[in-house]
Amino acid sequence: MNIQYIIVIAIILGAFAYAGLQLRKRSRAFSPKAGCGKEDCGCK
Amino acid sequence: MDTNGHNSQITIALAGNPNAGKTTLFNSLTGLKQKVANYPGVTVERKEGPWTLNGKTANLIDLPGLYSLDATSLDEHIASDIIRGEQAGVQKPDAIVAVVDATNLERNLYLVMQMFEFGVPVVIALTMIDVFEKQKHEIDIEMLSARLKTPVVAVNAKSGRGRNQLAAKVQEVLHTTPVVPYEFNENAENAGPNGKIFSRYNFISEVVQDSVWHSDQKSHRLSDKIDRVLTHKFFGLVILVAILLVVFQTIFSWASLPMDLLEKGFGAISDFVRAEMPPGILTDLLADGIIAGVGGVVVFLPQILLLFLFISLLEDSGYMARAAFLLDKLMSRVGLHGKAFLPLISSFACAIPGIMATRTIESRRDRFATIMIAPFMSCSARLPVYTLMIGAFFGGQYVFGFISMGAVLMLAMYALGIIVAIVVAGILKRTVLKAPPPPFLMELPPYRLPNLRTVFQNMFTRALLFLKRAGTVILAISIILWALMYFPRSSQQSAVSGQQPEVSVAGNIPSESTPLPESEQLKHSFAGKLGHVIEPVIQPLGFDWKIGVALIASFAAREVLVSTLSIIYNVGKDEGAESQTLIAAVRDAKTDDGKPAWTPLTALTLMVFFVLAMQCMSTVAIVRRETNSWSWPLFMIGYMTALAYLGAFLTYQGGKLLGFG
Repeated sequence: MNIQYIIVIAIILGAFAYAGLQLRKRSRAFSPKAGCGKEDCGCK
Repeated sequence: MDTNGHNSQITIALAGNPNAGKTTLFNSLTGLKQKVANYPGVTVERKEGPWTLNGKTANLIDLPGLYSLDATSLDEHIASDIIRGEQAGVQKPDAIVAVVDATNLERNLYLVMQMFEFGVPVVIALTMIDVFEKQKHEIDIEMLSARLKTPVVAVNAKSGRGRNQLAAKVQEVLHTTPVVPYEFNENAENAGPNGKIFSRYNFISEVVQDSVWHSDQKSHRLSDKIDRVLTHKFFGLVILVAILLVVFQTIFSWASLPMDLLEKGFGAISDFVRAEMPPGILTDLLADGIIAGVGGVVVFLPQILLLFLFISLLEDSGYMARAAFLLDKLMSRVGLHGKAFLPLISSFACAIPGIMATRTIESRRDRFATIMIAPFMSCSARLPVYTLMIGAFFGGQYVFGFISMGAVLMLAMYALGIIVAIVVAGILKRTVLKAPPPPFLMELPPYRLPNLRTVFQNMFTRALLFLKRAGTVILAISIILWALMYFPRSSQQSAVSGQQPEVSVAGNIPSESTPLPESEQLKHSFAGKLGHVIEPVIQPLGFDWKIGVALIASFAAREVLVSTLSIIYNVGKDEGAESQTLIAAVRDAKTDDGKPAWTPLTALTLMVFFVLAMQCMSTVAIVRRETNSWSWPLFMIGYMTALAYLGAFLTYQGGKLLGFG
């Protein structure tokens, strides 16, 4: 395995990590807050 | 430090009717950039910013645009809670700057009357005064201030007129007790809420009569005459279609040169990388994965810029509200709330702000029905897909000799989204979301010359968002997709002997074997295998396994289709093959049996699929949040995917039956 492979694998792992972090961040940012009413959601 | 972490103890709320110039004033006072539009209801989210008052920094809160504080809609709830100091995380305001549109004084003052009753000091910022004066009306600001027993300042956010005076007046009223300038008599108290409403309006009427002098209504009459044509149920629609055709045609013709330059630029970068770097996996990743993937999307920047230039011009001139008004009758016929228009129009840029803007709809059922159909509006992420298909198969074709086929197809895709949305809304409102539609009063803002600063600011913000997305999310997805298309590496020997090709995830081919050509490697890659698995399902739509791979990837975000196709046709390109633009690569692509992978009918089928499919993870997440349930987003994905498949199936099979295959 030469240096090119090592760099490429690092880049791919970085991309997976970034995508995972984004998914986690989005699911947290968009998660409804506790006590959100049934009639209207997302603000209180 | 206050609860929001600001360095000031002073909190000022900025409140006013939608379209009164509140957002523009907020930007001017705080120096922050915010989207400004010319139809009511754009400001749904709360915005904050620092405002310097005589050397001290106050926290300025931009409340949602509202007509009253009766707390019937979500926006009114939020605003009245903030003014009462009952909104978690927001300090009770020390004063309110009431933004009042001078051209709609009576309606705007109603909200101010309710503010007085909350017991918070109020300073009135009178906007649109230049328009008011141009209409040859006069207003006695001192009289208005005296009758309302509160300071009134004429402001102009563009020129900065009245900004310092507004700050000084706000300083003056801080820590004072406001005086309600009228009293409810016994009859009003006994008549319930309506009695109070009439009392407020009676008082407003007296104040306006004392302080405003109206000249003849010539300009109003002209505006009314224009409205009679633009909102006519037949001619209005004809004009709307003509305007959209001109917009799309212009987008295609103006964007072609910069798009070609960008494509050539990315091609040159890719060639440079291949020429200067030693051959190997890193060079392949850079040229075929990163540059092809990100570049494939970035080349559509000119179209995005032009689309938002026209959207901003139409919004800012006041035409967009007329377009919404035109379709209102149609929407109310299927039982959709009139207020659904504003979120749906926002969804043409992106479904996420559109879905968030549904908070202005009071009824939960009406709100959910609007959320369910918002993703049908053709958002800007679909533009690269439409443009690629049109550029590859319909470029240079004209209808009636002068209307470009591209513009007609774009219009057809936008219209298809709207029609399907109306039909789906009608079905939902008659079944799972049954409820009578409440009446809706829509304000048509005055016509005005678009503010070029706002227009260019809007374009710039959108371009930045697009580039940021290309440089982050699309980049990461491109790298992952490239890896899925590159690995595992297979050898020639095993393929010839009829065995399963020898593979190595690490990319090492055994020394006695020769690697397969790149087109074969792609077939045996992880993505290739996945594409072959779903091929039987998508074959009736005219799609081969390569399009299938791009289709699956695009469920993360629609524009990923373009980057995936770009990577597929680069990764699958055999050594020595000349590099070509994506449009040319799509046109020349072949299936495994050597037939053309794409035809104009396949391209049209793909466009129909993209109009109807729910391919945006961020939208799914926001629907989850706004409906506070997983069942609604899952229902949305399910019914939209089924509809997309059915629409694409009918397009392809119908086209074949008609001899277009």
